[in-house]
Order: sequence, then structure tokens, then C-alpha cells
Amino acid sequence: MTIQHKTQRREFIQTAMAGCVLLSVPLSTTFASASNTKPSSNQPSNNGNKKVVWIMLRGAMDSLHAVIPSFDKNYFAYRTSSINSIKDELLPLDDGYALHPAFKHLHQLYRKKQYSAVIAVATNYRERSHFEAQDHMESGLDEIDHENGWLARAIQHYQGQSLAISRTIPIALRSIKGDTANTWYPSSFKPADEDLMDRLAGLYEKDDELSGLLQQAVEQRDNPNMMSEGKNRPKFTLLANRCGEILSNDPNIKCAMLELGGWDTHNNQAGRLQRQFSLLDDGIKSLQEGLGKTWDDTLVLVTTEFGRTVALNGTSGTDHGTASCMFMLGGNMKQGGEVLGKWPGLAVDDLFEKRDLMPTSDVRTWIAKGLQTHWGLSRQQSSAIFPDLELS
Amino acid sequence: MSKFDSYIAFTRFGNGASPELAKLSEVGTQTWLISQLTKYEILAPKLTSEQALTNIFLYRKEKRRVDQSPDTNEAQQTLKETRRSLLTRSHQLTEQVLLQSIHTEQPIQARLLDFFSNHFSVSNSNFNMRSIAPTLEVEAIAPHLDGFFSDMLVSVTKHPAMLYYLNNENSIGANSKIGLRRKTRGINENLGREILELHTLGVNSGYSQKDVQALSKGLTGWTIGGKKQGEHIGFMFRANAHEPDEQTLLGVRYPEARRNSPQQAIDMLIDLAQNKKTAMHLSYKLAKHFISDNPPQKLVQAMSASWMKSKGHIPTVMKALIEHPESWSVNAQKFKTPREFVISICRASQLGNIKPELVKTLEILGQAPFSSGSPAGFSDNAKDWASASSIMNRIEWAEHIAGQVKLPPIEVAKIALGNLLQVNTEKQIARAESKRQSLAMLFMSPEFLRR
Repeated sequence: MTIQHKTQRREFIQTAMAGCVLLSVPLSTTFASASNTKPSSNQPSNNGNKKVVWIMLRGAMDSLHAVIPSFDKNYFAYRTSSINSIKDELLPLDDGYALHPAFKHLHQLYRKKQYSAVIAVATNYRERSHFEAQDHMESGLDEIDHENGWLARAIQHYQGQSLAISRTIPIALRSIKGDTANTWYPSSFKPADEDLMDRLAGLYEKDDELSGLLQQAVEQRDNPNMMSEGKNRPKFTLLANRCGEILSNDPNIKCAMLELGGWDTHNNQAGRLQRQFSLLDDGIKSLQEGLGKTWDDTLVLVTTEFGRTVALNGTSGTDHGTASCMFMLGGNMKQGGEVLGKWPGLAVDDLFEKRDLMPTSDVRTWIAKGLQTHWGLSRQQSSAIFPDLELS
Repeated sequence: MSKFDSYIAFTRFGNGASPELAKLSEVGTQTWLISQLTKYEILAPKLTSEQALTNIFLYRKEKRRVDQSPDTNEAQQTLKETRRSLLTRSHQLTEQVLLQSIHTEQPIQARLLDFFSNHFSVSNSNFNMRSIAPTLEVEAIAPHLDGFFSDMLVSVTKHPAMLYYLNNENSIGANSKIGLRRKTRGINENLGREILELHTLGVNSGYSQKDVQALSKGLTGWTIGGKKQGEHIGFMFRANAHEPDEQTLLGVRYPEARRNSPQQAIDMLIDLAQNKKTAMHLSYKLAKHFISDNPPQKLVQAMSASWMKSKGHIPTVMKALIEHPESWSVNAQKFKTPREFVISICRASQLGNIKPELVKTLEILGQAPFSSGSPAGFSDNAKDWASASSIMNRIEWAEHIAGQVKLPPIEVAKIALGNLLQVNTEKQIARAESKRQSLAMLFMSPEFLRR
């Protein structure tokens, strides 16, 4: 299976380079599996302490500036002015792809087979609104449901709790079953007086919403893994690092969501993306440091809501597009160190609506397969997480 | 009229009561609210966009000079000083607007300013934006709160803060004079798209990519002047950059404008402001903001009808909201945002200069002005503000700020909540072990957290 996949992929890259598109689906053997025994479909499975971290890049990352298809002549026609200054420093991947030079750490991981990029992915959403597309990505459903997120559905199948590195609960972690996610964010004032907390509990006696929130807030405060650092405007690297530490110290928390904004590069994107990529690269390094040994049991997924136009716009930036890329990382990936997915080509007729990179696979399929392998979920369980997908 | 009406008027339509307002409740709540829908001015603003731009240009010019010649430390120091003083003034303006919403006698206008400022959200994402962002609401939004939405829309779209934020200042029509000369330059559709999606019609309201392009082309040449000597500092229509064509937006044809006139896009914006879908979108958002996350359909329809009839006259639409029976349910359905929470505490406790100051406090509580990071602004869903870590933040801050309040807790409670104060809360705050604890409990009581 593994070998066949590899062959298939090489074939399609060759054909893609000739301007053709083949069919290919992500395969379940991408990640190392803890167990080969399939759990029964109705029981939550728990193969131990495997962690999942999802990093959502808000604002639509320009994949064509991140994972560069240096084999595609058309690419340079579109992107000469933005690629020229970094052309000689690109970090080579396989099959003619290369990473932007800011991704130094990711490139090392690639060499250790702990990182793979998937090119030309999208959800089924084909409009170009950030906010709708993000809601889609977070709910993971063809029809957005703001109270029903994919990560909340996923954690139901792998006993444990979830964590949002945020002051509020993002859609992805909202559950129709009523389980609430943990949230963690650095605080700034001295801890509230114990007696005040008790009295508030009394005051909220008849208020279900507030007493629930208060109880959760107290639990989080008392959890030594979530002690705050007293920083007011935390950097992404700090958040990522704390996220890693919480996951590694708390056996009950099995998944976490991190967010990084700033990707909506409508103008002068070369410099802005240089900074953004470095931030993401450093953030992943900090996450890994926070996780320590747990890195070997962690799967990290990095996605964005959609891609950007293939051509640069009039202000050296890019406008809202369609397909982008995703990253998968982890300390124990059997098939790390690859560029996955199908290249759709960049000739005008290969583009979506003659302007955007054409999606060739659904980003959710890769997430589903990643979860399936990493957490040892059954196909039925994956289908329950992403009911709109046809999963193999 | 229920006995709760006056306090509903204070909390739901304002930023909570204050001692002066408690007296005003005599005239009748609806009359009192409607009487506030007049001019709301930010007097003597600490910074104008013209001053901000002048300093931005000066700073950029100086910086280029210093960067080129490894100048003395002194020049570096002066440059730093220019930057710091501009950012300080912009910060002071933000603080000024917040302070005014604590002390104002037109609380409903203060809330509306906040609403529209969030509707036309700009973020302080870089030096330019940090300098100029707070001037948008003062110059382009506040002056139109007692007028027409179309005028507000045109003013906002012309404002340098918006032109910078959504990257229109360098958007060049491909067939314009500049476009034909410099093939690498072109159109940027960011502003055009967000106007349709966020500012007017709303997402999924039936416009197409072609409409986005038509509006974006109409907006080519809308830029910021003052970089060159002799130019007016502020909005400038650069005819050389304008796409010289008729445009079709939502099936309506807009002829090429006369030279040196931005009229084509102005006509488009005026029509958009009076479009039925805009009326629905804005009425829904307003009702959602003031009343409930799921506003009653009847209410939205009534507001939308008055929007169409009055051509988007904001006080008329607000009057429809105020006079609708569905707006007066005793059941408080909105969870205060951090901004509403902080302002209502300061107002009830008669606090002005708090420490840390207002902007800093809001930053800690997760809602620093101009930091939503998205042109869609901060969320208006109760759920997004009611989370465990945000509750803990509020408790910690409530306990902290309680130490700065001089008034007795029960007095603050009566001012803030009047007869909305629950018997249980009143009993419990009376039993608290200290004045500070008592105030913290009041601020964290269910009836104070919701409006």
C-alpha cells in the first residue's frame, strides 16, 4: 500500500508536470499507528496518550509562496517579482518542490521525515469570504454549523478533553453534545480571592450558564499545567510553547487548537510573508520544545481557510483564491518527508475560474485519515467526524 | 410599560445608568432614548487624520534619509521620538472616545458609534494603521450617526484609514493612464469585496465576482494625497489611476465619471446603501447587537422597512427599534462584551481615570480597540465572550477595579441596576466581607453581566 502510493504520487507529479491531472486520495498509512487493532465503531477508542494539535492560519495563507513548485514554468511567469529575491535560497523538498527560506525548522523536520506538505487542498467551499470559509473549516461540515466543530466531534471518539489557546471557545471546539472545551490564555491580574470565588458560586446558584463557566474557570485555574505567565500580549511562540507544555503535562487533554492570523496579504506580500513564515516556523519549534518527549506521540495539522490568486495583484500582493496547502507534522510519521497531493498545474485552463489554484483533494480527507491513523479510529468514526466526506 | 423599562433603556440601549440618568427616567423612557438621537461629537479630538498623515509622511521621509546615511545617534533618536509621539496621540484619541462614552448624556449614540466602528472595523496592524485607525470613527462615523447611512458609507470609504487598511490606495485601473504605462501595477479588490460582503449587502446576498470587480474598478484612483508637496493631505481622487470605463454593478450601469471626479463609485455606494439587502443586513445586525443573538424576525422586518422608507436614515431606523415591543423583553439576552462591561462599571461607579487605563484594560480583557484583526470586527455573539478564561479575567479585573471605587456598593448597585437588582444579589452583596468584595460581586452578578 505504502509503496503503491509512493509510485502513484511520483507518477502524478510527472504527469502533472506535463499538464495533466490524475486522481489520487490520501491514504491511511501516512502516519505511524499505535495499534493495528481496529476498535469497534461505536465505542470511543483510546490507544493511550496520543495528542493532536491543530493550527488554524486565519486570513488565507498563500501556499504558492510557501511550497514553491519550482518545476512549473508557469509559476515563474506569474510570480517573478515576488520570487526573485529568494530564488537562490529556496529549501529543496522532493519532486521539484521547495520551501520558502524562512521555513528553516520545518525543512530540518522534513529531512527527519517528521513533516509533510499537502498541496492544492481546499474544503468544499468555493466562495471567497474569509469569515464564511473559516467557519466552514472549523465546523468541517458542508453546511456551516456554528455550534458543531470538527475537533469537538473528533475528541468524542478518543476519550479526553480539548483545549483552545484562546480567551473564547472557537467554533471547531463547540460541541452539540454540550461538552465544553478548556480555554487557556495568559492573565494579567493577581489571582482572585478564594472567598470571592466561593461567594460567586453561591450567587450563580440559579444560573446554569454562569455557574458552569465559573466551575470550569476554577478547575482551569487550579490545574497546575495551566498556570498563567502574566504576559499581556503574548507572542505566538509563547502560546505555542505553553500549549505544548500543557499537553505534555496533562494526560487528560488530548487535543488543542492554536490560531495564527495575519495571512491576508493583499499588498507587498513578499516581506510580510517572510515574517509570517518565520513566526509559524518558530512557533512550531516552540510547540515542539513545549511538548518535549510527547512530540513523538503528537500529530500537528496546519491549515488555512483558502488560498490566494495565482497571479499577483496590482499592489504586489494576492487576492482571495481557492486551493492552498496544509502541513502535517509529528515525531513519529511513517511517511513524513514527502510532498503529498496532486499538482493541478498553472496553465490558465488548469486554474479554478481562470484565476486560482485548482483544489485536487479535500483538506478534510487528509485530516480524517490523519486522525484515523494517529488515534486508531475506525472508518465509521471518521465518517461521524466528517459526515459529508466519502472516506475510503 | 413595565416598571423595568427605564433600566432596560439604560443597560440595553446605553452603557448602564449613571446618577444623572436616574433622574432623567422621569420623562418616559422611549422619549428619552429618541431624544438622544442627535449630533454626537467628539469635541477637540486629540488627533486628526490630517495630523496623523502629516506625521506618517514626515516619519517615512526622515527614516529613508537616516537609513541611507549612517547618521548620528541624534537623528535616530529624533526619529524614534516622532514615532513615539504620534502613537501616543493616537492612543490618547482612543482613550478620549472611551472616556466620552462613560460620561456622555447620549449613551445610545455612544453605543451606536461603537457599533458602526465595529461594522467598519479597521485594525492597528502596522505603524500606519496604529497611527490613523482611531481617527476613522471620529471623522467618518460620528458625524453621520444622526444622518444617512449612505453618507457614512461614502465618508468611511474615502477615509485614509480605510483606504490604507483595505489596500485601495495603490489600486490602479489596468486601462488608466498609469495602468497602461506600468503594466505591473493593477487593481486590488480587497476594499471592493469587503464593502459588498461586510459593509453593505452582506455575504451570500447574490452578488458575483463580477460585481466585486466592477466596484473595485469604480474605486480605482481613490487614494491618499499629501506625499508630494502641494497636494491636499487626505482623500484624493487620482484620475490617472482610475479605470476609464462604464461599470455594471448588480445590473445597474454606471457611466464613466467626468475627469477628476470620484462620482462613479460614489453613485455605486449610494445605491448600495439604499439596497434592500443592505437594509436587511444592517437591520439584522443592529437588532442583534442591541436585543438578542437571535433577534425577532418581526423586529428586523420593521427596521428594514423603515430603512427603505427613510433611505437609510439612521435615527429613523433606531426609532423603529426603540418603539418595537419586542425590544423590551425583560429577559436580558445579551452577554456584555468586555468593552460594555468596563464602560458600564466605570459609569455606574463614576470612575474616569482608572489604572491600568481604559485601552490597556480592554487589551487585557481581550477587546482592545482596533485590534479585532479582521475587517469583520469583533464578534457580536454572546457565546464568543462567555468562556471560562474570560470569566476568570473579568473576576480578577472586577476585584482589582473595585479597589478604586469610592461609592458604597449598595449605592452603585441601585444606580447601575435599579429595580433589575435581584433580591438574592442584593442580600449577598450586603453580606460580603469587604467593600471591595461586595463591589466585585455586584459587577460579576448575572444581572450586571447581561443586558
